[in-house]
Order: sequence, then C-alpha cells, then structure tokens
Amino acid sequence: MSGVPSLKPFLLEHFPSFIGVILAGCLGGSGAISLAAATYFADVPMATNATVSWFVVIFAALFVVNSNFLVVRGHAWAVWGMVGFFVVCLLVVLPTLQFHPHWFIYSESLFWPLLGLLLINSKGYRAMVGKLVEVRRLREAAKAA
Amino acid sequence: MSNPLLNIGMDSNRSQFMARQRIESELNLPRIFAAIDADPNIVGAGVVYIDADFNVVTLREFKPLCSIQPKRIIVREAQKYVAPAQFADQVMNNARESRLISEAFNTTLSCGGAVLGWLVMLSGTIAVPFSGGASSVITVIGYTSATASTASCLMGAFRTRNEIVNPGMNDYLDNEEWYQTATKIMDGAALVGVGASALTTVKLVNVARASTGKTLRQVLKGLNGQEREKLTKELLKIADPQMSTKMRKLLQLRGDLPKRFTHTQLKHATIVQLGDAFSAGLSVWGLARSDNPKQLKTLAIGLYEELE
Repeated sequence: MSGVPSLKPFLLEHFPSFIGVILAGCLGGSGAISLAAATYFADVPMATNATVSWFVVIFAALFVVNSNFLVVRGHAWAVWGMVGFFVVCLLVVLPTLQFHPHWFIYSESLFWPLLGLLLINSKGYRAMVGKLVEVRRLREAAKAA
Repeated sequence: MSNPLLNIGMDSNRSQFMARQRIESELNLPRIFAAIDADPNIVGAGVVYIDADFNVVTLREFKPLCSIQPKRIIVREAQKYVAPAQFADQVMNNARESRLISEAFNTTLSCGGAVLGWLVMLSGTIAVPFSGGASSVITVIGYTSATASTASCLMGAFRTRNEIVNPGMNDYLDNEEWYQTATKIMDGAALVGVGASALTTVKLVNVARASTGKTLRQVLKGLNGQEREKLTKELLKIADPQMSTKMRKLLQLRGDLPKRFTHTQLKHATIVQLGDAFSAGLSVWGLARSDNPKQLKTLAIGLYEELE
C-alpha cells in the first residue's frame, strides 16, 4: 500500500462492512439492554430501571462511537473494543433464556452480536483497518514534516 | 390493517343491522357528536362502535374538518365476561401495535442518520488527511453528529424492543421531562452536527409550546404559516450553512427552494429531529361506563388517527 486510497472505491469496498459493524453494535447492544431490563431486573422499580437503562444505553452508544472513531482514525487496537462489546452482548443475552423471553427478541439479540463478530473477522474489514492505519501513518508523517 | 373496519358502514348482515338498531336506541347520539365537535382537535372525527359481539357499526363518517388524515373515535364494548380492569389492559396492549410500528419507523430514520454520519466521518478521514485545520473541524462536526445519531439509533432500537418486552418503560420515559429534553438535544445534534441552529429550532418549538399551552406533539402538528416559514428558514440554514441569506431568498423567489415547507414535509423533517415526540399515533383516552341502567357496560374509547 502506498499513498492515500482514492475515496470512491474505498467506500464502495469497505463502507458496508464498516457500517454493518456499527449497526450490529446498535441493534445488538440495545437488544441486550432491553432484554436485561425486562428479565434480570424485572423486579426493580420502574423509575430506577428506566433511568439506569437509559444511562446504560447512552454509555453503550458512546462506547460504540468511540471504538469506531478510533478505528477510523487508524488505531487498530480499538477493534478489540467492538469485539469485547459483542462478546458482552452475547454473555448478557444468552442466560436470559431461563426467563422464557420473547422468542423473536431473544433470537435477534443473539443474531446481531454474532453478525458483528463475523463482519469484524472478515477479510474486507481487516483490509480496511490496515488501510486506515496506513492513512494515519501518512497523516502523522505529514504533520511531523 | 386488514380488519373488519374495512366494512365500515355496511350493515352486511342481520346481526349488524340489529346491533345498529340497538346502539342507536341506547345511546344519545347527538349528544355524543356534539361533545366530539366541541373539541377543535377532533371536530368532524368519525365515530365507530364495536359491540361485544364484534359488530362494527359506523355511527358517523369522518369529515375532514380537523385534519385531512382520517381520525376516528372508536368505542369498544367489553364482552360481558371480561372484567373492566382486564379489558382496559387488553385495549391498552392492542394499541401497542401501532406504536410498535412508529417506534420501528423512528428507529429506521435515526439509524439512517447514523449511516450518513459515519459516511461523512469515514470519507472525511480518507479525503482530507493532511489539511490539518479544516479537516479537524470536519472531524469535530462529524464526531458530534455521528455520536448523537448513533445514540438515537441505539435508543430507538432499545425502545422498539421495549415496546414488545417491556412497554411500561417507554411510557415511563415519555412522561419524564429530562428524557424529553435529552432526546431533543440528541436529535438536534444528530441533524446539525453542532451549532446554534438546533437550539433555535428547539427554542422555537419550545416557545410555541409555552405560548400555546399545547403539548409538544400538537405543536409539531399544528404550526401556522409564519411559524412554518421560520422553521423552514432554520432547516434550510442547517442544510447548507454557507449559503447567504440573500442567496437563499433569491432561490426561494425563483422557486428552487421551498419558501415554506408543507405540513407533511415539515413533519418529516421534525420527525428526524424530534424522534419519538411523535411516537404515539394513537392514544387511549380511558374507560367510561355508559349510563345504561339495565346493565352497566364497560366501554373503551380511543382516538385512532393514521400516521402519514
């Protein structure tokens, strides 16, 4: 790889998997939080439950945004943030089975994290992260010069 | 919705005919109509009565006086063996279906916003990696809007799931002032990225809300021409911040830009901004018991209106 990739081919090739990871993060994270609030914490008073859930949603959003922002800016290690996020989603959702959750919500809440992990593991995504790291190197070199 | 309401007004069988006879003799129809027409928000609304045997009888058709989109008051009689509390629960939860659809719709909108936000962010990084100053400004704006739109996407998806597994939580959140404010700020930031324009819009809506004493939803539905013009100006500014006022006016005169968004357009724009302020297309007013001395009946009265 040399130089900055041209914009259109780069977007065509990599944007789908990139945004796929983010959307899978949004859908998977929100599903996990909603399920957790409705099962584990069903006995907690609504005021507490709703408020805490709201903050958890915002926190999850900030986490997803910042992990992906770091990836965009070429910090490859931030990919592990999303991996961890998806794993946590799976770990939260799986045991809710004992509460007999709504079958559709349960299954899609499992689907999104798995999809996200699959996308992160794909060749295209890895290649994109590689290119973004390259761009960061160039940017840093340009700044130093 | 493919339901018996399609047969509205047609007494297709004997049972419906009998039901109409019975209802018309039991109810004081002119009084009911007068009560409905006294409320400017629902003047001319249609009235549909569903009795305990599921006969659907249209007592009055909708007349487009209060709005163009049909509004109907639907009165449902409970089956005799259902306790009032249980019936209330049934009706409230049926109403959820239309809320689920609008939650899902809002989620799609805000997630679409998130897609755009990230597209801007990613292309910003690739396209302008070296022009230090300008690119960092773009990144800050992109960051704000991507954060806010991703957060609204997550929140929307969360609410959509809640609507199925835990609807009470959405109701609770909707009634909290802090939640409404936070949502407004978030959606404003998602649309604009950054800046005072979002605040102006929120302010405008808030001012209208304070001065008219309407709820947020009513304000968004019923802005007058002048207010719509102002809001259109704000939205055009947001869409292209670099365009000068003169240029905008010129383009508006030439008809290249809208002078004033129609209600529908504006509604679409404000939906994006103020997300779930719109969530309820349907509200169940509550339960009333009819005055019939022979048998007390449990009735559910709901206002149904179509979302766009």
